[in-house]
Amino acid sequence: MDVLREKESKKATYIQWLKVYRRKNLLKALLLMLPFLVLFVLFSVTPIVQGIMLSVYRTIAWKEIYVGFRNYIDLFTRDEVFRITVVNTLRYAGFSALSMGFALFLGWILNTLIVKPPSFKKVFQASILVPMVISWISLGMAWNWFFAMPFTKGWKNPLTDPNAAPWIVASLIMWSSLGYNSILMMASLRTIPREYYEAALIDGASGTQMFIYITLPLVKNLLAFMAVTGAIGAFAVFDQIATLTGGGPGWSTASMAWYMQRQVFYSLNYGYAATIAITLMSFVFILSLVQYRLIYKRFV
Amino acid sequence: MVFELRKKIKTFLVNFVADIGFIIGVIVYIIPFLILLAASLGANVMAGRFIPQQPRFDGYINIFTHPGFSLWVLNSIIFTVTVTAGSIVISTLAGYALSRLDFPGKGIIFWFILGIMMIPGIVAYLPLYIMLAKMKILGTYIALLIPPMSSPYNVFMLKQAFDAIPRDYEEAALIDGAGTFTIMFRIHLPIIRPVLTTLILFNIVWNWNNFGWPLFIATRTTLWNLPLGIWNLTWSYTVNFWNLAAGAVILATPPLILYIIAMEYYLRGIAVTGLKK
Repeated sequence: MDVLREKESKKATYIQWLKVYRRKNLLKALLLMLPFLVLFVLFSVTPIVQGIMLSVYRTIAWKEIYVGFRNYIDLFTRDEVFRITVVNTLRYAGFSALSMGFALFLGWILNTLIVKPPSFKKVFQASILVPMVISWISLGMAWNWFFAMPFTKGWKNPLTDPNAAPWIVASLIMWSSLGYNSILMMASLRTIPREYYEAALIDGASGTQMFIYITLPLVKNLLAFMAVTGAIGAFAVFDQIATLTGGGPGWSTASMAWYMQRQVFYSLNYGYAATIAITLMSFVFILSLVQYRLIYKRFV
Repeated sequence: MVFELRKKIKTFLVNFVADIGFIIGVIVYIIPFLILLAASLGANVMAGRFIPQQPRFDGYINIFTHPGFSLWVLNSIIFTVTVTAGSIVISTLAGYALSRLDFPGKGIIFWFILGIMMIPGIVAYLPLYIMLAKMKILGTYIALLIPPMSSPYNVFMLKQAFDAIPRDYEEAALIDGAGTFTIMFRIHLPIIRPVLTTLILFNIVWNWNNFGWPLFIATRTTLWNLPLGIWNLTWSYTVNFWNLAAGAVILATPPLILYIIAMEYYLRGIAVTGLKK
C-alpha cells in the first residue's frame, strides 16, 4: 500500500515537473520561432485568408462589389477559358506524374547497368539535372528557337499551333522533371537489399521477372507518392507557360496560374483572379489528401 | 579462350550501346544551353545552324551596355543573398524549436506550417500584392525581400534534419550544465552542417531563378531581377537575338557553375531528403 502511494506521488511530481518544464520551454521556443512566426502569419497565412475573402467580391468600374458565390458560379459554368486552363493544368500535372514511369526505367538502368569506366554514364547522370538549376527564362527561349528550326520542308513551329502546343509544353514539363525523379528513384532502388536479387537468381528468375516481382512491389508506394507530389508541383505551372508560349496561341497552353496572372494585370479583375487562385488551392488540397493517405501507407 | 573473347566482345558491345544512349541523353538535356551559347555568338539557330559563320562577341558587350542590365544583375544578387540568408537563419531557429524543444501547442503549430507548405506560393501573390500596396511599401526593397523569407519548406527540412540527431548528445551536454543556445550552436548546428549546406545551395538556385514573385511585386523597373528583365526583353522588337541569347547565357551560367562545383551536394540532397521546389 505504501509502495503504491509512493509510486503515485512520484508520478504526480513527475507530471507536475513535466508541466513546468514544458511551460518554461514555451517561452524559449516562442522566442526562437518569433521571427519566423511573424513573417509566416503576416505573409503566408493572412494572404490566403484574404484571398478567400477577396473571391466574393467583383471589381466593377473600379469599385469592389460584393457578389457572394457568383464568381465561382461564373467560373465553373460560363468561363470557356477557365475550362481550357483546367484541362491544360490537368494535362501538365498528368505528364508530370507520368514521368515517374520513365524515371523508374532510367533509375533501373542507371543502377543495374555495369559499364567499364570510360563511359558517359556519370556525365549523363549529371546532365539530367541541368533543367532543375537553369532558369525557365533561358530554357524557354532556347526551346522556342529549337522548335523554330526548319526540320522538314514546310515545318511549322509546333509551339504556334494551338493543337500541338499544349502537348509540347506538357512534354517539356515532363522533360524537366525527369532528372529529379530519376535520381530519387535511383536512390530508392539502391536501398533494396542485394540478397533479394541473389536469391531470385539462384531460383532461375530472369531480369524481367526480378523487376516485376521484386523491384516493382517494393517501390510501388514511393512511385505513387512521387507521382502525386509531381502533380502537385505541376499544378502551379507558371514560369514555363510565361516563357514558352505566353499562354498562346490564344489560350491553348494557358495554365490556371497563368490565367490568374492575366486576370490581375490585364483585366484588373482582382476578385475573379482570387477566385481562380482559391480554386487552384482547392484542387491542390484534394491532391494533398491523396498524398497524405499515401504517406501513411508508406510508413505503416 | 573463345569464351573469354566472347565475354570481352559482349562487354564492349554493352558499353558501346549504353554510351550511345547516354550521349543522346546528354544532348537532349544540354541542348537548350548549347542553343543559347551558339545564338549568343551570332549563329542563326532558327535557320538550323549551330556554328556561327563569324563568331561575334558584341552580344555580350551590348547586353551589358543596356541601361537596365547591370541593375538587374545587382538586384538578382541582392535578392538571392538576402532572401537565402534571411530565410535560412529564421528557419533554422524555428526548425530547432519545433524539433528539440518540448512545449505545449507544438503539434498544432507544426501541422499548420505543414498545411500551408502544401499550398503553391502563387496563390498568395495577389492578396500579398494588395496587402503590400495598402501598407504603402509596394515598389520598395522591403516588399520584395521580406515576404519570401517566410519559407515553411525550409523550416520543415531543417526540423527533419534536427530530428535525426540522437538525444544522447544533448543529454551529455545538459549534465555538463550547457544551456539551450550553447547546445544548439555548439552541438546541433555542426552536426547538421551538410544538410544546411545542401539546403543553402538549393535556396540559392531557387532564389536566383525566382520569376513569379518579382513579376507580381517588382512594380518599378529598378527593382527587376535578371529573369524578369530578360523576360521583358524578349517582348521588345529592338533587341537582337544574339543580345538576348547573351543575356540568357549570363542568367543560366551562375547556377550552372554552382551545380558543377557542388554536384555531390545536389545529388545527395535529392537522394537523401528529396529536396524540390
